[in-house]
Amino acid sequence: MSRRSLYALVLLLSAAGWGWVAFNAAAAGSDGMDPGARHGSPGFPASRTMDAPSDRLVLPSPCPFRLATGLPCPSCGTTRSLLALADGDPADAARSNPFGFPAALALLVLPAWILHDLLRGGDGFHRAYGRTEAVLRQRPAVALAVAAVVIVNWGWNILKGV
Amino acid sequence: MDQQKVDMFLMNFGKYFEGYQLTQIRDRLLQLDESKFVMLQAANLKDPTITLIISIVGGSLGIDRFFIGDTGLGIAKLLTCGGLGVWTIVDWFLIMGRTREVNAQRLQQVFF
Repeated sequence: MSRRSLYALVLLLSAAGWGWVAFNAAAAGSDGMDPGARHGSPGFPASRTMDAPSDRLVLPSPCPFRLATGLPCPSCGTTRSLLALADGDPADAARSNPFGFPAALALLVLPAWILHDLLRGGDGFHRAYGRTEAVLRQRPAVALAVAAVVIVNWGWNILKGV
Repeated sequence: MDQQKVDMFLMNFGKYFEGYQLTQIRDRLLQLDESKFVMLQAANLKDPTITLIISIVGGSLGIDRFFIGDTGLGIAKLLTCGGLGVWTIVDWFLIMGRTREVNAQRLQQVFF
């Protein structure tokens, strides 16, 4: 993928990500909502599980999988995780969805990296992306490991009742 | 490669590439030797129209990106639920061009 298209796409997606988090943070803040009732499932009593989906978010969940099946998808809870990190609560973030950590990292690092490349006329991010794609293509073991992590997290999401 | 075979290839796969690339591709194919003809078939080119359909139907799961070999982006798209829907829509417009780009790259690998 060309440098220009890649940078434009990632900047657009980062903007969407930031906008989404900011929107949720602002809306939740102004409403002053209570965490509300917590629910769970056998083995994971309510006191150790997550806020019900509707409590901290303003809109019903945007996840198409959840809308279709009622079960959480592997990334359900990531927005709440990011909001928790913004509030300075990494434990809560990990409980919502550990994917919040790489997501936060990506939202912070990628736009900065791309802007740095654009200002200095470099292509560090573009080359790093190329190397990552090459590794994923040539060593299926890596892609399978990622898939395994995603599926395990998914199972945890379902158990937690995210 | 003889002209008949080249023309047959272009008739079948012309839409898989950007229009402006076709003259260049035709010239390279004519210079290519016969033994590479088999490799051409194995180049694993993807039909942009099929990719677009996959994008419309399963775009929020990133299946379109996986299909054309953009595995990393596919995983990212999957994990962000189609980039919060934004990416899903953006890809409806980008994916055909990207597929043609990928096809051109795969064809280059056959030429060398």
